[in-house]
Amino acid sequence: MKTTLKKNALGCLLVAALLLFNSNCTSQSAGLPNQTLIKAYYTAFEKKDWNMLKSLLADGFTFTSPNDDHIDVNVYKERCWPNSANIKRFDIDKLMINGDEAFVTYNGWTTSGKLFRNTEYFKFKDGKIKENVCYFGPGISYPNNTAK
Amino acid sequence: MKNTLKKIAPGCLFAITLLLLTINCSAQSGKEANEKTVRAVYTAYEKKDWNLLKSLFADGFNFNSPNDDHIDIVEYKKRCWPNAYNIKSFQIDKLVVDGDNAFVLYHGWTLDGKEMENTEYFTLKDGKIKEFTCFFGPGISFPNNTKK
Repeated sequence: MKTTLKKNALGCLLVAALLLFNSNCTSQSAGLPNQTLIKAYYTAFEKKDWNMLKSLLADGFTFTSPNDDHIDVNVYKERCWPNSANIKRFDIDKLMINGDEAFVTYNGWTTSGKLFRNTEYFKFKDGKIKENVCYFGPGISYPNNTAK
Repeated sequence: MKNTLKKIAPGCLFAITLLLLTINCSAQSGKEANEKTVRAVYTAYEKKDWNLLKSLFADGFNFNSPNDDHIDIVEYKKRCWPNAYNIKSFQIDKLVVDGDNAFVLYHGWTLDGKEMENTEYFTLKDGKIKEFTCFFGPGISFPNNTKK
């Protein structure tokens, strides 16, 4: 009886430990598709590939920045997409994914070598990007920047 | 030999379980401590309590924004702290902590009812804030904003 209890207790401990680790791993792996989405979002700008970008956006996608108040995909294409022609590269500097939302800080370079650094907040839904809010850091996005 | 293994195995399992639980708990408490420290920044502004704010900063603290490039605590107090006297309240909308780093998205209101929305990225060391960077969203922080 005592031995059975001992065995059961140890089994329970092991199960508990495995559960703890498993839940930890699950929450991390849940971020992977969203991480892929984010990387693809910036790659689409680098490749000037509108179809690729559009395929990542959910129905009802909105974009917000100090210059744009929840604009839809059509206005986004008109106002923001032309910037892709001047983009050489994005380097993701910080990335934090929390379930279906994420923060990204990137360094971007224009084709003429100018640097801009922004933070973007993403919301995801069913494996697509539902919302993107851009917060301006130092660089050319900042309207009064003398380095423009 | 087999018996010895049998005797040792449960002990090892128990030790591993305890170790896993301890690691998990200390990571959790570090995360909570960092979250508390970051939240206290906004409380210090609301309370106009410079001593509280200063107590949260590590040696060598620096601050960045589109207007500030790695300014130290002396410059920060001179340039940024006076804003505290115009702040009515902050509302933290998102706070994501990953180890010693955190992203915060907040809304703030001035005494005369103007609204701002920014994100800030924090780097902590030993429970204190080593560095943070402010990215400007819509609102009064944005220099060209017509609602200023």
